[in-house]
Amino acid sequence: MKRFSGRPVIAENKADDFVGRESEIERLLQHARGLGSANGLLLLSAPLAGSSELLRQIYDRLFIGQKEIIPVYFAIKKSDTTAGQAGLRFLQEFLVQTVAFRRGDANIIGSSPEMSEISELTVPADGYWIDRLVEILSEGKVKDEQALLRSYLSSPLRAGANGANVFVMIDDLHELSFLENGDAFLEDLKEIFIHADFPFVFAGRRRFLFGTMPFESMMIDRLAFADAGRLADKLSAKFGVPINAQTKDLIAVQLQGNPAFMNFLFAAAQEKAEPLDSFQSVERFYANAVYGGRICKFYDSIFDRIIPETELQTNLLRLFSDVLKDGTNKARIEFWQKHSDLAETQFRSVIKMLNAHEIVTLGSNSIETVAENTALCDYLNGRIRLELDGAARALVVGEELSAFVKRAPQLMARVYRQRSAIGLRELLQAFNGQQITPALIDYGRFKDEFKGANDDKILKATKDANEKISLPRIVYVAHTVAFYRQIGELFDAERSAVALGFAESSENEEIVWIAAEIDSKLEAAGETAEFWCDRLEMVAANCGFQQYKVWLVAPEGFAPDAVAVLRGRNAFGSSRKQVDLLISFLNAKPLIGKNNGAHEYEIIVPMGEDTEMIAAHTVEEIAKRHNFPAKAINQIKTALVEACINAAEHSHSPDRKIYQKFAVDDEKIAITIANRGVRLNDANAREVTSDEGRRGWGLKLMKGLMDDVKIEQTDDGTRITMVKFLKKP
Amino acid sequence: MITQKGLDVSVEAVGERAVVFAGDYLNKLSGEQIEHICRQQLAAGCKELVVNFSETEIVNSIGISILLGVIDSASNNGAKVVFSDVNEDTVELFEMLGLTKHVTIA
Repeated sequence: MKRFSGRPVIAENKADDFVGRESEIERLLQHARGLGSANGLLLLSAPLAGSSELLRQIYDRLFIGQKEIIPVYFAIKKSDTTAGQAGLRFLQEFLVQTVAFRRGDANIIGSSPEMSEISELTVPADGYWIDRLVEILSEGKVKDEQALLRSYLSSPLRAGANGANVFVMIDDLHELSFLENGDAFLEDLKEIFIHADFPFVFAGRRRFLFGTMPFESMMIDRLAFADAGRLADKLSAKFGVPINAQTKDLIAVQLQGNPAFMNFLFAAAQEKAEPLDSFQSVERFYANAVYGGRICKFYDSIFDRIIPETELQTNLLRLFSDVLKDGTNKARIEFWQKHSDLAETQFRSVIKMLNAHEIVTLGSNSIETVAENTALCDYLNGRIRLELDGAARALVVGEELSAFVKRAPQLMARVYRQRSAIGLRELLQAFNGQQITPALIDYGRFKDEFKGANDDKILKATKDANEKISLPRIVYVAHTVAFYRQIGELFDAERSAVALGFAESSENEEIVWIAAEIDSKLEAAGETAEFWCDRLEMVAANCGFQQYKVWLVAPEGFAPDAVAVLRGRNAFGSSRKQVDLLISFLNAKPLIGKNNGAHEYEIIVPMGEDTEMIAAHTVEEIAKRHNFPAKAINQIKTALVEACINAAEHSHSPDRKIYQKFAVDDEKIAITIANRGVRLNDANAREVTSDEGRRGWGLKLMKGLMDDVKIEQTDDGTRITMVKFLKKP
Repeated sequence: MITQKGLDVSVEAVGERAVVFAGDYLNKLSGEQIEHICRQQLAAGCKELVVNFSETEIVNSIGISILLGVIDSASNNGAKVVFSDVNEDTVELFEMLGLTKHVTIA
């Protein structure tokens, strides 16, 4: 299927502007081609994760990029009031989209033709079954409402039986909660489509759809940090709102990768023609969005739909206020019901819908507020202060804005600490009963045996060592805060984990490992080791762990007195270096994932005077550090020199600078060389050099020496990205 | 023996043989120096031009194109061109751009 970046058909964004879902797009397109493991696929989405736009993007790609599969996209709307109405609209959409696709005319979709017009527009290949459908419906032969609904929903199967190759996507199924006979619609959908012999997708809120249908499922959560950053860049360009690297990260973190909220923020900034280039400006627009702006309207609309009655909504707000002030964030279901003033049936329906929209989390006997949803908590807090406490609006907005500005660097600090965390939870999971030399985990031993040795030598020695200890076979691991909430005051969740398992020596011997990363500038002292051992032993005592092992990790290891403390308490203490080696030894890198991602370096060199050699020597140093072989390093250097020469020769650059980034991970180095000025392709088109024989040699060398070379035209210049793999893929 | 030294490039000439020592970075500037020296040697009757790459760390495409010019000039003067002490990475570059068809690598 060819890539396209043209005008959208039903999607809200151009394909090139839709970021962060590359693997999901690939999977859905494969599914559309009938290459999934089954016909049915459930798309379970977190609220506002962008799943609807994802499906619309799939629709556009199928509409434009191929002729064989008829894509159909249908979403339950807020304006649908009954199952029958939604069913009829489904049939209409199905027919319109089929006709539009067959005619290759997207305008038909937007024109909403009547049924009679659809018959006229139908291509001969589909004429029989479309005409039959239109005829049956017009004659009203099927009078029973239930049968009529089933007839509407069966229309794709009728098409399939007549040789039409369809791919149906039905979205926003959680909206059926608000429809009269919505349950019947869902049930009929399941019963009908289970017999379909074409691929289809049912999509909706994950908590609503999970477990309702016997189809394979695909989870869509909010954008990961890196993808949210890419989206922020796209939105900045689309709305013409300047951002910088710091605010980009803040927007990604604070809005938790929520594409809709990110759109709201940039749209608001565009309306005021103001940048989002400081934490203060971001928080100002965020506060406006939460207190009366688009984020407020979004949550208001959910509450108004679920609980239209003002008084009942106020009761609910009061409940939120009580639970949030209490600090536990949760209360028993009976407490919620008693104070909601709702009859039991209505209460259950309301809580079920609030749970589906992830406004609360419904447990078996308790209801919990979603404290980790920053925007939701800020919205609730605002409404509580304004509506329940009666505080003046200016006071609330002013105080909350100050609090947001103060919170922003703390939020980012937490993210930086999280991202630099080792991944103890994942590492413990990788233990798997493996045997290691004690020096890999005991800092005292490591210092005696390996201090100053290089990694390869250490790993070889550890493999060859005779003395081994067995790591436990872990069956369950979670962050310590999940076992003992109070520890969260001492640690970020990601920096401590508890693992339950069995000692390798005996499956009857249960053992618990309690691990934590601690901060220390130099080797951690005895006092520090005592302090943290006390805290983790308290976790063990509170959780009733009989047999446990404490494991502390300090960046630079432990001083001799700390080693003595740890040994006295039968605990392990490791340095960060030991943990990195352990990760390598246990092949745990795939589990640890993003924590050990790319190392990135950036330099800017002025053009001219052989400055490409500065770049070459820099990349040489970087590549050596990351164990690239000598031959590859020379190839990289030469290719980089050519790229720099290209940038300097043709660009007539206004700032005479070459911007370079080097990103190295375990597999490759990716080098980006960017410059402002006349773009490379434009230069090649306009300038005629007398040295015709040499034109293109630089590019030829780059492509010959590197594994992948991409040249992109930016708005105001050129960007070349070159990749060299450490080992040939 | 005649010895000359440019900014980065030097030459030792004995009879009809001249050895030109390329610098550590063969770019436009040093390439032009080599070209100048080679033309001088050819005009003086040199029949074997040896370009010594023992000190050469990097060669760029501009430098290579200038070397092509030197090869052409030598050919027009009935002289032979030899590239000596070329490291294997630089040989790879010369092969990519077709230089090795026109010159002896020693």
